[in-house]
Amino acid sequence: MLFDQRDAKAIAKKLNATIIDGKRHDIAVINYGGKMIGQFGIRRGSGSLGHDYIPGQIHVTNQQARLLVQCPMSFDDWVAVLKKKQFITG
Amino acid sequence: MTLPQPKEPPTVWERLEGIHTAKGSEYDLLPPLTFASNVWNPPDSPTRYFAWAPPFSSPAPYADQEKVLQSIAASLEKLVPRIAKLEADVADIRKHADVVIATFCPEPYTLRHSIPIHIQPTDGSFVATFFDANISTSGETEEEAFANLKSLIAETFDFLESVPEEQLGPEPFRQLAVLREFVSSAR
Repeated sequence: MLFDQRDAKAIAKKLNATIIDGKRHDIAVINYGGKMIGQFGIRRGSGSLGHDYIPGQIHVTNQQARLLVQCPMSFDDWVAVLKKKQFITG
Repeated sequence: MTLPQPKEPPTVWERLEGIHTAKGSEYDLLPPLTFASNVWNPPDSPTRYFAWAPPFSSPAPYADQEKVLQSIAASLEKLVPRIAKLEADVADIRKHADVVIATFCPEPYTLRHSIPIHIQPTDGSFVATFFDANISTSGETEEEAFANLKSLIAETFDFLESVPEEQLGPEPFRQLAVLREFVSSAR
């Protein structure tokens, strides 16, 4: 397992995500420039649950997601990645 | 008085084993087949009965046989890793599952089309993905991953529907458009 629930929450925090309560998941909603630019689900339950799907949900590689968790990659760095991939316009 | 019946030509195996020479017929004149001549002149070849191998007394056929056997052995050696890779690929493909969400019952959603879901194993768990909408989640079993994804699709649909469209960035806007293609709320 590359990312567990704790990592998922760390990524959500790093990206200043708003957490919306769902039935089985919390939905981490990421906003930028007054618009919602991404979201991903965080499974409820124990911290050992696998969340290896999150890098794909936020359009980064596993390595970049790991950098988000470990701090070297900032929210602005992530926004730059999304702009490059045209998931953010303007 | 009964007329002698024409005999059937000897089979390949009879010729290989030299059995036909004991039958006493015109085919006795045919020399026994060697492995090499059988390989290079298969039974359906038009030259089958014209390309006889040299007599066994000659050392040449044994040299030919050895070359052929070496060539076959070399080919088999090349096949072994390829077969192993194919077996691994097949085992890998069998681990994946492509299923569909056919209903959201008893949740209040109507499906316009079944939703294709891809489930694949990861380290100790399973990840279920609806690729068109880029929505994924995981579960300890395939069934749990499937149920979790169903739930997440419904939750994401409800949430995106609640956000004014002008506030949706390109990706959430696209996700909502895809979800609307597949799901509608029955409320």
